[in-house]
Amino acid sequence: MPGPNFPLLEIKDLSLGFALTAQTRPGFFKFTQQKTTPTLSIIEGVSFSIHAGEWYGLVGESGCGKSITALGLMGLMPMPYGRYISGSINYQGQTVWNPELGGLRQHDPWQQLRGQEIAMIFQEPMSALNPLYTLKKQLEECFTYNRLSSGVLSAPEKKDRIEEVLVRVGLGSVLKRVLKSYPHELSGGMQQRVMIALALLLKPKLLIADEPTTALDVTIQAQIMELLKSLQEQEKLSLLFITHNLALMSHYADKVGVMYAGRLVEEFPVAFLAGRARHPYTCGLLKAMPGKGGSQPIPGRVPSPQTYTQGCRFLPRCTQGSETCHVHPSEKQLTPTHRIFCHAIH
Amino acid sequence: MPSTDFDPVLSLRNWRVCYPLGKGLWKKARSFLPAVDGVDLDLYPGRIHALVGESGCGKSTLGSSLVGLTPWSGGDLFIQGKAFDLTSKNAPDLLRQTVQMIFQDSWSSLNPRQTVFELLAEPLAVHGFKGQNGALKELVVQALESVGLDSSALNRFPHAFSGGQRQRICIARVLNLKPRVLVCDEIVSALDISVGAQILELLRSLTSQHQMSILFITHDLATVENLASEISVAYMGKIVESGPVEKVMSKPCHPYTQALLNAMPRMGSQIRPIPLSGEIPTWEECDDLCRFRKRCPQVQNNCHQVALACTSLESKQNFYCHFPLS
Repeated sequence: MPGPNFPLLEIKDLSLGFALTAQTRPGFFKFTQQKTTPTLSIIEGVSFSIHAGEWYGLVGESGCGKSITALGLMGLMPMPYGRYISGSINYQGQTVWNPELGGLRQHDPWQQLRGQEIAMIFQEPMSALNPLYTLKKQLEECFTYNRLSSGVLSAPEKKDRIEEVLVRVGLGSVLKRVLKSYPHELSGGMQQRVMIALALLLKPKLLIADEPTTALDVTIQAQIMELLKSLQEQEKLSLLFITHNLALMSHYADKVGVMYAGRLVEEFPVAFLAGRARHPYTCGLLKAMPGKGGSQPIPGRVPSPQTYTQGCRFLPRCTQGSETCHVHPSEKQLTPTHRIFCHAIH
Repeated sequence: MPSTDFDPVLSLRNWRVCYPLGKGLWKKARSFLPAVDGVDLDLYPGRIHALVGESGCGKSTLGSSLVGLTPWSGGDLFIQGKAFDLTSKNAPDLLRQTVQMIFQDSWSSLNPRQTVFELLAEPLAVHGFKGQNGALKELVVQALESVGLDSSALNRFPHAFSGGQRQRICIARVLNLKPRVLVCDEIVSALDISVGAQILELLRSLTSQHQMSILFITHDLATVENLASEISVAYMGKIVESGPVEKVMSKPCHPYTQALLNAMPRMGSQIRPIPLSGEIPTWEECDDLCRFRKRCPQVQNNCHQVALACTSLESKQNFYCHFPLS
């Protein structure tokens, strides 16, 4: 059993990318060899770890690779173009993926983890739920596709578990109606609750939430966030929470990672967000937030992966840039919990 | 900033927009859903008026009815103090000479098969621009430059631009028509914070430059605080509170406004957002009584029995509530 200081999920120097042309599959025509194709890296050298019961927030503008990181952790890189390039992913000290395991076609190491250990909720519940099936059917489907639990639970046990989870996410009073209805018959907030119920069904230890409240109103957003917080506190659930809303993050996360153009640029405890964050990009994001004193946008925009450079990628938009910034900054440990990648900060 | 004594560019009185229910090809409407139910609104030149509320409260319907995209059902509309004839056949066309709209999703509001030049020239042609081609191009380039793009964009298609740039094209498109009122429906909610901040900055400078009046529809109170000068809070087709932004945001009178402010995440605040319990009621439950009473923390007997009337304070704050917060 892992000790308390053992990270639940640890990723080291992870690089993910996309092949620019599809891989030809050795099939009927045996002579079609696997070609090596050029790969475009999207994520480069990202390392962080999430401990049990910890809420890790990942922020950055769109196009920074936050969502691809999440998909990579779930083994859901869009195929056939997605590529795991280098680095490693460890879950409870066990290797999930490292370069020696190679491609993922034959062997899917996530099969035992997905759903049962790590679950995910997506931004848009409307497009993540199937419009053609009732929610009861979609919830039951979870048991069918996960080999470990399908044989273990009997039908009434499954029904009890579904009801238990729906009550847990606050749909207890409308339980019968929810089970019978189709996704379009529910409001956005209720759909997102059903999504959370789906994720919790097999009792995962880590929940990856990719902008779960962006499509919702502030009042409903607060309801969903309180629900996630209570799950974290009462059931010791760990969360990887992806958002671009820094204000929201400041209330709930324990640790914050800031990503820019495929790299992690800074990581610190959430309390540092007010005043102690140092990276020029983090400071820029904080200043761009709407507030009483007005907001100052960061000039320019996020580079596309085709134009990624070797040096610091924030350089064209940075106010503190210098000649040294053309070299990739190495990791600096400012305090035991504060990591930063920047030449200008000492 | 111009004083409040300016006449409003556009005024709405008892404005109503109803959607027919159960209507078919040969079937008459069974009943009507009053998405906007008796709204009064004044828009002043050079100022931004924010309209906030949860989804489903009718704020987008109100916006699209102002450009005639959703047919209005009743009420009066005044343009610079003169009553506008809503019954005439070409009323929506005439209205669009004064009021223009920008939508949330820039991707679906630009035709993917038109170049930027065609996109920008089309509204001018529709509104009867008669002039040489050279003059047309000059106008288009001028509009592009005023939103921070240059003439190299002219022959490119919408897919070649980022979300923020596409939203700029949408803004440039309406600028040449010189609308006096601009309806912006959630224009930054699909954008990142820093790109959204750039667009808001642009909007603010255009407002003062052209003395335009903007109706800024949003569900994000955080953007409103520093952008708008007036605010209206909508709930279930009614405006529950309106007034100057500083007053409403610092001393809300209606419990719903307070609940919205409580639910908003704030940087540097120690208190976590407080969720508002319950969900929006169905339209069948709506009547003349307070529509917020089922979710209201301050609800009392009166709320279930006595119809509401508007209360105005000296600070120009108007609200509909029996038991306002002090």
